[in-house]
Amino acid sequence: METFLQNVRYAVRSLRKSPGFTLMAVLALALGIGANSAVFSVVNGVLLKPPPFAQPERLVHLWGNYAKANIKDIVVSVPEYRDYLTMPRAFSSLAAFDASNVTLTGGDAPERLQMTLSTASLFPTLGVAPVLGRGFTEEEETLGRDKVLVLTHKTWRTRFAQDPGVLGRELRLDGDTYTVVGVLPPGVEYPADTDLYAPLAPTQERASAVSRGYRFLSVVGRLKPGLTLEAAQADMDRLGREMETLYEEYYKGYGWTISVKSLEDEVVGRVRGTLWLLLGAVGFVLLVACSSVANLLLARATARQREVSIRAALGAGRGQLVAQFLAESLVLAAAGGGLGLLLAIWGTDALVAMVGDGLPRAAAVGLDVSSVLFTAGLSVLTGIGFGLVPALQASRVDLSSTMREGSRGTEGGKAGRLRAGLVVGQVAFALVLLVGAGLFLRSFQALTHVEAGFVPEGVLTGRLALPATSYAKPEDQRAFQQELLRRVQALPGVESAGVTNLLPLGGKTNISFDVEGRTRAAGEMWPAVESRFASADYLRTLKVRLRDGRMLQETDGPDAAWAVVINQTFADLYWPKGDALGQRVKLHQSDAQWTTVVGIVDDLREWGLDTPARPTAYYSALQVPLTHIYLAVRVKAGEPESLRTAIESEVRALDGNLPLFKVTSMVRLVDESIVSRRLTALLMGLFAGTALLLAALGISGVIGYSVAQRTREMGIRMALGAAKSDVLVLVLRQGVKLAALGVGLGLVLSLVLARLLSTMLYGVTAYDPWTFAGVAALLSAVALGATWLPAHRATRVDPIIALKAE
Amino acid sequence: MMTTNNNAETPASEDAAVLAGAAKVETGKSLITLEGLTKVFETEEVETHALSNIHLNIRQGEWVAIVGPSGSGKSTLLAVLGLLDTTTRGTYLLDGKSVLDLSASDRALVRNRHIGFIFQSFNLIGDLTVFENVELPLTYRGMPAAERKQRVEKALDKVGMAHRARHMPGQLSGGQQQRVAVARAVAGDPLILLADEPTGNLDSKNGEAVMQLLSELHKAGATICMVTHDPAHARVATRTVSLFDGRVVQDEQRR
Repeated sequence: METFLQNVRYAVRSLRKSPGFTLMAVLALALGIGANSAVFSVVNGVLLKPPPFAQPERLVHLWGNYAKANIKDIVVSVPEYRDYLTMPRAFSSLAAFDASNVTLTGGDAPERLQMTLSTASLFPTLGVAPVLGRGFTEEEETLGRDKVLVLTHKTWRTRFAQDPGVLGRELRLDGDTYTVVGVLPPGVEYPADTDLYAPLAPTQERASAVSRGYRFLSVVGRLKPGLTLEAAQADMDRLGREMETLYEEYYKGYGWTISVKSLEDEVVGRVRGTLWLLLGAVGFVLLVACSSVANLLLARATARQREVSIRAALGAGRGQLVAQFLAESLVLAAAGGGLGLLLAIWGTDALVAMVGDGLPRAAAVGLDVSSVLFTAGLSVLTGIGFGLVPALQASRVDLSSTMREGSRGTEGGKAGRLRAGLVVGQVAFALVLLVGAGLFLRSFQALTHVEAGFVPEGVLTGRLALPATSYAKPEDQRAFQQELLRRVQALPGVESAGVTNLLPLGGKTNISFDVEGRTRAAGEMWPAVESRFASADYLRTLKVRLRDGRMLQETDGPDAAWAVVINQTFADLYWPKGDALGQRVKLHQSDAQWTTVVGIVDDLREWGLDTPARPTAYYSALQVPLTHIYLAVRVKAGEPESLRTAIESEVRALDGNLPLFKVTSMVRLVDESIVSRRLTALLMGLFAGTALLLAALGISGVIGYSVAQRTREMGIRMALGAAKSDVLVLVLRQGVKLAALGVGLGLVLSLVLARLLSTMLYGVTAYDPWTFAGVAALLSAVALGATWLPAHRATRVDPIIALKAE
Repeated sequence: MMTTNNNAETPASEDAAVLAGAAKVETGKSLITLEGLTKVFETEEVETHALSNIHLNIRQGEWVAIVGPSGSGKSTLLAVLGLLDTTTRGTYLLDGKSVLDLSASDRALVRNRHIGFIFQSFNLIGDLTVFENVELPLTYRGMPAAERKQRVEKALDKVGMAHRARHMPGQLSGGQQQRVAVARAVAGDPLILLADEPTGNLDSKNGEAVMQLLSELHKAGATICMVTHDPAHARVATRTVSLFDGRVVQDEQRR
C-alpha cells in the first residue's frame, strides 16, 4: 500500500510537470467517462433499477387482441374484466384502472390533475402499501361511496408539504367532494403521471352485459408464485376460447386472444432497445478516448525511456515499472472520472430534459450511488485498460542505454506499430459511430419529410375536460363547445379554430361500425375505424385538403342527418370503385345514427409520423358532443403561443372552474412525437462527432510524432534533392494508409453492427450505401486534413539544422 | 559466508536468492570473475566483436580503472558487469555465483542489492527530489520506510549533500548532482560500485571533488570499477585495465 501511495504521489508530480499532456488526457477521459456515466444513469433509472413494486417480475399487463383484424393491445370492458377475475387460475390478484383528467377547484385557479380510477385491488396487486392511511375497500367501488382519494407521494409533497394531517382533508374535483384516505410511498405513480387515485365505480350501464364491447380499462395482474409468463399465457388462451364460446357475437371468428405481457416490458419496452444502443454507442466513444490516451501514453513512454532505464538499472523489476506507469494511468483516469462525473450530472439532466415526456420513469433517473460506483469502476477499468499496454511497452527497456551519454528515447518498431494500430482502431470505431449517426439522421430526416396530411405551423392546441357533474347533458356539452369556438374565433389574430376528441399523432380510438347494405359473412370481422369527433372548422384549421365532397359544417347539428368526412384510405378500402360519397355507416355506439359520407380528405398521420394512415372517420362533434376536448387554433400570423393568454381568459370567462391545460403548439406536438428519434440521432451525432475529433487528433498526433522522429531523415532526403512536395506526399501517404486501414475495418464492423439497427430505422435501410459512402468519405477527408498539418511541418525542415541536430 | 565455487547445477534463481541474502565477503576475496567473456554484435553482413575473450578477476577492496580509446569496449564491459547487457559467450561469476543465466527479474534483484551505479550523466530522475532519488533503489528493495530514511540520510551525509535533500536535481550543479548519484549508489551498501566516466560531465574542480569522494569510499572498503578517459584519474585507482578492440591489452596493478 505504501509503495502504491508513493507511486501515486510520484505520478501526480510527474503529470503536473506535463500540463499539456495531462490536460488532453483528462479531457478525453472526462468526455468518455462522463458521457458513459450520463447514459448509464438513464439506463439505470429506466431499465435497471427495480420499480417500487414488490416482486415486480411477477407483474403482468393483460391486453385483448382481434388477430384477424390486426388490432392489438385492446383495453377491456367491465364485463370482460369480470370474466378475467372469475376464470383464470394464473393470478394471485388482478386489478383494473382507467386514467382520466379531473379539475381541482377551491384554490386560486382551477387546476387539472391526472386521476386514476382503480379497483381496490390495484395497490395489493402492485405490492405497495400506503405510507399514510389506507388504500381502497371493495365497498368503495360503488357509486356514491367512491369519493375517497389516495394521493401519490409527489402530490402529498408538492401540494400538502408532506403534512401528516392530510388524511381526512377534502378536495373538490370536477365539482365533487373527495376525502383523502391515504398516501402512497415515493415513486409509485402507475400509470405514469398519476397525481391521485380514486375507486373505480362503473355506472350500472357500463357494468352490464350490454357494455361488453365498451372497452376502457387497463388490467394488471400478479402471477401466482412460481408461475411462468408462458403458463399464464396458456391459461388466458383457454379463457379466450371459453369467451368465444360464451359470447360468440363479440369474439367468435375474429381471432380473439388475450395476451399476457410483462409489466416491465410494457412500461420500458419501447425505449429499451434505444437505451442499450446508446449505451453501446457511448461505449465506443470511451474506446476511442482510451485509444487516444493510450497513444499519448505510448509517446510519453518513449520520451521517458531513459528514466525507465535508470529505474531498471537501479533494480526496479518489470512489475515495479509497470506499477509506476499504471499509477499514472489511474491518476489520469481518476481525474477524468471526477471531471466526467461533473459532466454526467449536467448530461443526465440535459438528457432527461431533452426527452421530456418521452422517457418512462424519468423521475427515477439521476446520478445516484450506483451511477457514482459505475463511474468509479469505469475509471479504474479505463485506467488499467488504456494504461496497461503502454506500461508493458515502457517497461521493456534497453538497459545499456543508461550508459550512453545523452541517449534519447526513440520509438522502437513495436511501439510504432502499436500506436499506428491504436489509430486504426480509433478511425474504425469512429466510423462505426458515424455510420450509426448517419443512419439515424437519415431516418429522422425521412420522418420530418413525411407527408403528415396537415400543416402544424401556426396552430396552438390545448385540452379541456368537462366534468360530468356540470356538463352531464349533451346539450350542455354542445353549448359549451359552440360558445368556446365563438369566443375564440372572435379573438383578434385568430384565423380559425376547431375542437376534436383527439389531435393527430395522438393515439387510437378504434370503433367498429356497420356499412349500410352490407352484411357480414359468418365469422367476418366488423369493420373498425379510427373515429374522430370534430367541429366544422377543425379540419380546415389544420389545413387538411378536401379531395371530394364537402367538409363538416355548422349545419351538421343534432337535428340534421348525421354526416361524416372520411380519409382517402377509408374510401379506398371500403369503396374502391370511388363511390364512397353518399354511402352510410353506423358506429357501434349506443346513441349512434346512420351517418352519410359527405366528404373525403387527405390521409392524416393520426397514430404517429412513422405509422401509415389507417381508415379514419371525422364525425360532427355537434352530433356526438365532446367531454374531453382538444382545442386547435390557427393564428393569422406570428407565433401561436402569443394567443395563449387571450384563449385562457376566454375559457375562464366561459367557466371559471375549467382549466385549459397542456397548452402547446402543434409544431411542438409533432416534435414531441419524434423526440426519441431526434434524441437518438442527436446523441449518436454527438458521440460520433467526439469520436471523429479524437480520431483526427490521434492521426495528427501519430503522424506528428513520426515526423519529429524522422526530422533527420527528412533533412537527408532534402539534402539529396527531395522537393517539398516529395516530403509532403511521403508523410501524407503514411496518414492515408492508417486512415484507409481504419475506414476498411470500420466498414466491416459497421456492416456487422448495422443489422442490429434495422428495426429502429425509418425510411432508410441499415445498409444504406449513401450513408456508408458518405461517412467513409467524410472520415477520409478528416484524416487527410489531420495529416496535412504535420506533413506541412515536415516540408519546413531545414536540412542543415536537421543534419546537425543529432 | 559465501563460497567462491561456482556450482553450474544450481538454478539461476537460487543463485540470485543466495546473492540477495549474502553478507559481505572477506577482504581480498574474488568478487568478480570473468572467463572468456565475449560480446558480438551481429548484423546481416557484419559481426562486430565488442568484447573478445575477456578474462578478469576483481577482488574485494580493489579500485579498478578501465581505460582505452573510444570504441574499445569499456562501457560495454561495464554494462555487462552491471548486468545491464548480455554476453555472447563466457562466464561471469559475481561473488562466486554465475549471473549470466539469470532471469530478467533476478538480474534486477542482483543489480538492486549488489551493484551501485554511478553514470557519466548522473542519471538522476528529474521529477524526484534528492532524497527520493537516493531512496529509489531502497524502495525497490522493499525496505521499510524508517530504515530507508536512515540509510538515505547517512548516504547524503557521507557525500555532503544532506542539506539539499528536499531539492530537485534541476536545482543542483553538475558536481552536486554527481555527489547525489554517488549517495544513491552507496545507500544500498552494494558489493561493488560501477562508475562510468564519473567526471566526464564535470569541470575539473568538481571532477576532482568526485574523485576525492570515490577515494574516501575506497579507503572505507568499497570495491570500485571505473571507466575513464582521464589518465590522471586512472592513476588514482589501484589497478588499471586497458582495453583495445574489445580485448584486455594491459592489466597494471599499482599497489
